[in-house]
Amino acid sequence: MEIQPLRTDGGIEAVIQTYQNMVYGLALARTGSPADADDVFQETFLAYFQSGKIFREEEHRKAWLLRTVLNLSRRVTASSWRRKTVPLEEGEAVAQPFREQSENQVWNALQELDEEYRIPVYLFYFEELSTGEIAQVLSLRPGTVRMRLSRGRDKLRQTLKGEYFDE
Amino acid sequence: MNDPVFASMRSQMTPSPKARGELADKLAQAVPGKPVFRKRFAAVAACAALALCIYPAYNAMRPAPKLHDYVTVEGSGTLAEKAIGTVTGSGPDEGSMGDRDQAMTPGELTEAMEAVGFSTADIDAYQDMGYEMTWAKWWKFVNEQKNVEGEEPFNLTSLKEFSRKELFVNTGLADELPGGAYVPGGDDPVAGLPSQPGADAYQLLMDHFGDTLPDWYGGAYVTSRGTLMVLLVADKDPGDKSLELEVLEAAGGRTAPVGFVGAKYSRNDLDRLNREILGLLEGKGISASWGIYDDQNRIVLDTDEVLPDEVLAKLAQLDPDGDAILVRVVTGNAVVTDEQVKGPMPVVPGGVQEAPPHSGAVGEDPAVHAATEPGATAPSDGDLKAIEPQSEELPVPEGKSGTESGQSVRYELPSVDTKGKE
Repeated sequence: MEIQPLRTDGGIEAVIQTYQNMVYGLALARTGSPADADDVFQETFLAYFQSGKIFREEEHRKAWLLRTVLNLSRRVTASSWRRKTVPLEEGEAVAQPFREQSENQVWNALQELDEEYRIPVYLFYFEELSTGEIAQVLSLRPGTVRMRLSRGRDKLRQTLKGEYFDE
Repeated sequence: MNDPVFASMRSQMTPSPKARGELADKLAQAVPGKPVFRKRFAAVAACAALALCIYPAYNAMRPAPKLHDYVTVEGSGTLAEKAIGTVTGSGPDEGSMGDRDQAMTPGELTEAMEAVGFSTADIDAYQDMGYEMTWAKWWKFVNEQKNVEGEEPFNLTSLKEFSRKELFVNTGLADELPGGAYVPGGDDPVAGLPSQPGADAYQLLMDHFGDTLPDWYGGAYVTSRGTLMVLLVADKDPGDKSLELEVLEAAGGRTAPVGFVGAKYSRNDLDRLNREILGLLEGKGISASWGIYDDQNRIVLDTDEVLPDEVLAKLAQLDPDGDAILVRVVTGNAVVTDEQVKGPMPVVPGGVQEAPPHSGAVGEDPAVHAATEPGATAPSDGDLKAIEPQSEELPVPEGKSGTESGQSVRYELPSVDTKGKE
């Protein structure tokens, strides 16, 4: 990973370049909507730019971005306006966000999981975070994260007939 | 784990170009945030400044706790003779409050009697009588006997005769009856000595009360003429004499030598305060002595140092009106006797004796007023309370008596041989 300036007001483009997929991907996994994920992506980096935070280590910056994504996603999904309105194009976009059919199959199976299992599974398999790191981001105990990963995997195996999600 | 699939999916999860462009525009317009540590530092500094400003302001605005008043007594000599409670702190002042009392201890009396030639048998016999000898009375006796012609002026008969006229008998009831009094009893070693009607009345009154004093009872004391003055607390119709009648009946009937004084505090109140003071001063390393002065209807607390604010504040709480406790700070080696606490006994010849007023120098207005004593007569020499001569501090010029040299506090005293004490 490329080392970025530890101050948030310097090298913002480099930080966006490094973390945009992580931020957008987690936002998409959390909200299930590309449009909402775009909004969360923008707000996350704006918040980062305006926060003035200084990070002692790159891991701290990454953890901060992940927590911010989850918080902003929660705000978006909790909006009463969003709960009552569904954009016409969103259904198609969510249904086929990836090029390969197998990828869309995996994504759809993931989206069917409850949030408490979906986010740990996404962070573990897509962002390759350890259970300890996931526990830190989600403010859970590592044991809880392992339990949720295990149950999430079981559900995915049932949906995907045993493919993809190994221990 | 199927890494290629997840890696491929992850690579496709990119924000839309539109969102990317909008973010670039917003970032261009946004003001970068200042480092958080500065904000934190500023917040901490602001809080500290606020605390530094507010706390002194709060202290300045907060009303200071009320402190009990005290009076300062300066001089040389000894301290209160009626102290009941005593708390002594450590240090060089220890013992300075009580060991110079006017009353002679048995050891001092023995030593003094031996010095003028009394035999051991006479000394024992005299001490068995229970007279409460004071230093002033002793020197008065010595001075009188020096002028008596004869081979043995210092004999038991003359001392008994002198004591009968001059002294009270210490019956061990001094705590109960201010001033000490003879109370007749079957096996009492002093039985046969002259009775004091006021003391008899007091004893009858205490028998009437039993173990529990009524709340309207403010205390009692015996005047120099033997009248028992009873303090009545009750706020009642001036025409209602039921309490007076009850006391008179209890004290021996309508002819009993009993007078009445209005009072603010009951004896129970003062007893409670007495205990509170003990609890307050105990363990604080403060040298103090105190006791209830029935004739003043208050507690007099002597100390040789200004009491800490904490103690004065607590005393103010115990005595909100400031007249139940008199705090005296005695500096140097002050002489503080009962006369100085009470002031001299004013006597209206042939008429009514008023309650003892207070010396403005050492006292405050007491809670006692409107004394009425029946049958008062003009005082005799025996009514005068003698003051211990301070021969060590104020040597008497040769050929002059203690009175002439200004040693006596209030009354004319017979000339005293100050050298005799040495």
